[in-house]
Amino acid sequence: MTASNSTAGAVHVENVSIRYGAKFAIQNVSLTIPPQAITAIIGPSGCGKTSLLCSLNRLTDLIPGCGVTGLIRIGDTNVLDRRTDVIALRRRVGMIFQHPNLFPMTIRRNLELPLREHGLQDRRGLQEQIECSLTDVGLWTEVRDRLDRPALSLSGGQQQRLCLARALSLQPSVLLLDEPCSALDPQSTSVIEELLLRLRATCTVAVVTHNLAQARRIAERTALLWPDTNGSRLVECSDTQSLFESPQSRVTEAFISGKVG
Amino acid sequence: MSRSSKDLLLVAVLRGLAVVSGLVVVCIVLFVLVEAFPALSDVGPSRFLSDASWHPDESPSTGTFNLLPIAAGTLLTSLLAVVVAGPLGILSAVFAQYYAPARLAGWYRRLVELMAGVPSVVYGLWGLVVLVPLVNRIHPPGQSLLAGVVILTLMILPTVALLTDAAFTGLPAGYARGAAALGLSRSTTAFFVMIPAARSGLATAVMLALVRAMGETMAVVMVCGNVARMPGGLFAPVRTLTATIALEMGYARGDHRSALFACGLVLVIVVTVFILCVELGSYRRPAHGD
Repeated sequence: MTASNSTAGAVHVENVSIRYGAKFAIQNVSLTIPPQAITAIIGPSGCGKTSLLCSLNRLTDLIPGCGVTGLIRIGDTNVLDRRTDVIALRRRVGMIFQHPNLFPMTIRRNLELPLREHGLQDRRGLQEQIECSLTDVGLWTEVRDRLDRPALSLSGGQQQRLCLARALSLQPSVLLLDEPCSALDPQSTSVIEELLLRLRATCTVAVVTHNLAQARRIAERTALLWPDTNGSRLVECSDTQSLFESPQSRVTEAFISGKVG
Repeated sequence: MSRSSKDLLLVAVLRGLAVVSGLVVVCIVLFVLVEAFPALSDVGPSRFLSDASWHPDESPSTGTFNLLPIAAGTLLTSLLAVVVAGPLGILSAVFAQYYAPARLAGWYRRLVELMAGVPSVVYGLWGLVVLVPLVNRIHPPGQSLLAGVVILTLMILPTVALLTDAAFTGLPAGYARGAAALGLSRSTTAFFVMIPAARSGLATAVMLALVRAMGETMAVVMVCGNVARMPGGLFAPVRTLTATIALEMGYARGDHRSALFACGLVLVIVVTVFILCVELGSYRRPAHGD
């Protein structure tokens, strides 16, 4: 990966506020998600972590009444600009959700659909890319003989890895994960975590998690969002180690020690 | 009354209602069978397929009872109408669901609901006054298979559109979000994700539309010409099973009357066969790619 590519993946968030109707989910959040690292976003339930993540690939557009203000930059792209090509943006910014959201079709078709959409048409190329992404997530040996079976017949952990393979097949420079392991057993969780640790070499990874231990295990940086009177604010964002060992804020200290939240 | 006895009562009432509604259907079919029996035994099933024409009479010796032309009339009008209305209705639902801005979609849905609520005699009247003269200008007489297909298409289009729309609405929100997050365009999302995902709902929509078209009587009587002859083309007049029953029931006696019930029986059988096909199809079909 070239140097320009690696900086292309940095995500800058400046004074971003997100509201649903008149109610603010988050208020004036600024942070930087550096490339080639994993950044964890933590905080209590309903504090707007998911909203923040969804604003980064403009998935907030899909929610009626949702407004995002402020500045979000991914590489050279001004994300919130109306003229930004969201399809191209979302191709570069992959996203994984809490529950696997494979389409009710075959495994192969699930992987082919986005690849075809983004210009890969020939059979050989598709087959190679499918094998490559499935190998990346450690699924190839498990599903190579049943690529034409329904994707929904896979187990939950396999489905989530297939979602990851599908997102990675587009070679995104940023990967957003919204509690990717919360519906999975510990075994599948550790498989996904290992995968994320490998991915950070090529990707900017932001992961929303409820699991503080997971943030400590995999994230270089951690950001804490905390609900305030009118929308959540960013309390602290720093190296994971210093956030957990010498928190600057009393809220952080209380949250990571389990006293609140 | 304790909670559990309330529950028991509710279960008993629900069971009773289920049995009653099942029985009603069984009774209707039995009634039609019993009424059709004299014709089936006096005339015999083979004459329904091989007689020279459909000119039924009280006594089997003087009448002719060929049902094929009118059964063909029913199948042709309704199948052709579904072939046109099916894709159009699905496109209409795709528009309302994935393309129209929310406010326009709301009005559009209301309009389609209104279209579904127009009584069939009104469609028939419009067909008679506007459509038939138009067809007549292309090729006389105007009252024809084509006019019937157009009227039926208009009548079942809202059925397909509304049921397909409901099928799309019932899909998990994760599909739309997932598709958007992968950078799929609207058209790819609608045609390659949502339509395949909703296919069993779509099959039901088309099925119900087909059944409605086959059962439609009034509008068809008014625009089809009602000549009981094998349809010779799009501009030839045709007669359907329902039209035959409606037109002849008033004066039919004896085996003629019974033969009309045989028409009804044929209709019931054809509808049942179509429904079974869709049911079996939706059970067997695995999640296919293309």
